[in-house]
Amino acid sequence: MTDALTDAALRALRGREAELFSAVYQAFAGQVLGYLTGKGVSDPEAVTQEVFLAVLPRVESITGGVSGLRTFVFSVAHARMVDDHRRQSRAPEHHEFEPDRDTRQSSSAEAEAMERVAPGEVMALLDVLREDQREVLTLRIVAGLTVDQAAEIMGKSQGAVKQLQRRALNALREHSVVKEYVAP
Amino acid sequence: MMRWDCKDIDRDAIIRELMLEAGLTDAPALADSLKALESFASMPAPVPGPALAAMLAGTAAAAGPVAEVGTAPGIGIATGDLTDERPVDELGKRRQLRKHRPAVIGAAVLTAMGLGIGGVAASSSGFSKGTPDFMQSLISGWAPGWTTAPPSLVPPAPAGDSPKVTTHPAPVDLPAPAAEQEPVIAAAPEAAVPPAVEPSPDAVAPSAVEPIEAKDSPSQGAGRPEVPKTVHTEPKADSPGVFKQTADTLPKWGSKDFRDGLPQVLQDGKADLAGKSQGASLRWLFGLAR
Repeated sequence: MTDALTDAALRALRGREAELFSAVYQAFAGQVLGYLTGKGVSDPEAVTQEVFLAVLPRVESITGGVSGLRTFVFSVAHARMVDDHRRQSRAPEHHEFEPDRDTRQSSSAEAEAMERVAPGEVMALLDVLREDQREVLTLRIVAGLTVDQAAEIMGKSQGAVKQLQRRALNALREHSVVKEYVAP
Repeated sequence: MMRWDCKDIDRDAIIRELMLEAGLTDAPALADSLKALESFASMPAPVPGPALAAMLAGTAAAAGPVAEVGTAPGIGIATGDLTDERPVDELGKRRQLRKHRPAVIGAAVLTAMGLGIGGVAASSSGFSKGTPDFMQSLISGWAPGWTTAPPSLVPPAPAGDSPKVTTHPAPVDLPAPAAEQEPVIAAAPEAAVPPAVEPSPDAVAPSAVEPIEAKDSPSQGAGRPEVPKTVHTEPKADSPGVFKQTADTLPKWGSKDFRDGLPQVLQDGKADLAGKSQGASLRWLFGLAR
């Protein structure tokens, strides 16, 4: 049974902290994980947890309903993504595997999701795009933000965002046309 | 079980809007690509880590991490442990370590330096327990060369008062010891032999001397007193020679001998203080020193 996280539901959960946190996490964690994965973050799950550790204590103070909450969540995710990219650009970080810290008991859900998403193919698709074009598309399609919200998060004007998404689509179309022409 | 989802947006509508804005309405391949991108949004929520799980539900961890996500809203009990600031990831731990690294290194260096200095000070006893015996024995017989003049090192005798009293006898006593010592050793044979021989062969000589002696001492006898007189006067006639001898003996005392002998002389002077006047010994010492 699923229930849509609406403005009314948010108001109803106000004051019940544990339930509110769980609802926000369930509603947005998958999207944040998808956004971070699409942006090529080295450890999307860990960064997702960091994002919600920062977001959840301030959920009560967010105004603007679900839309405002969405903007806030993805602005934090965007900032963490930028941090991760800077970290990667400085020095690729390699973590040694520590079994004690690996809390994953089953990878079946992820494997199913990955098979369904076919991330390798999508990532190859996204690799066609420039970084800011990729950012615009993930923010608009994966995060489901409007042009205004994406422009606010990226710190650009609405016209610049529209221009970026137009060029991104053109680049994707050319790529898909070339692929169709070559593949058969 | 209640699962929350965010259905307030229609991503298909967003994709249509995007393609419409770009003027690409007849591009099915592009639409498929965008829908593949859309599938990123339907990824399952990751399993919360320890800190996040505590923040989400508190004690709901009994059902296991996977089930916790779904059951948390129902059975979650807030424990109030929401302000746990432990670093959750390896990066956080490293950052915390890096933050305190200078302080840790500084403390370690200071501790090591302190231990080293303390060890050196403890191992080398130095003269802390007093001057060693061999050093005492080395120093005991040594007197610095510049102690010849300073009167402060001259024995603590009442030197300040003594010169007033004993200045006069000093020049008289100075030749006396030399004159007394010399006849005993060197002039004694001469004095012993001549009195026995001289009176008989040299009858003129005493007679030549006699008038003077008679003038000086009319009351004394002529024969007997002469011998002691001559004996007594010979040293006077030889006194320059005696002085020469003492003058010769002085240079023989090199400065080194003098330094070595000074303590001995000082000791002798102390010992003779009872018999001789202090002024005499002091004057003699100063004479030697010059």
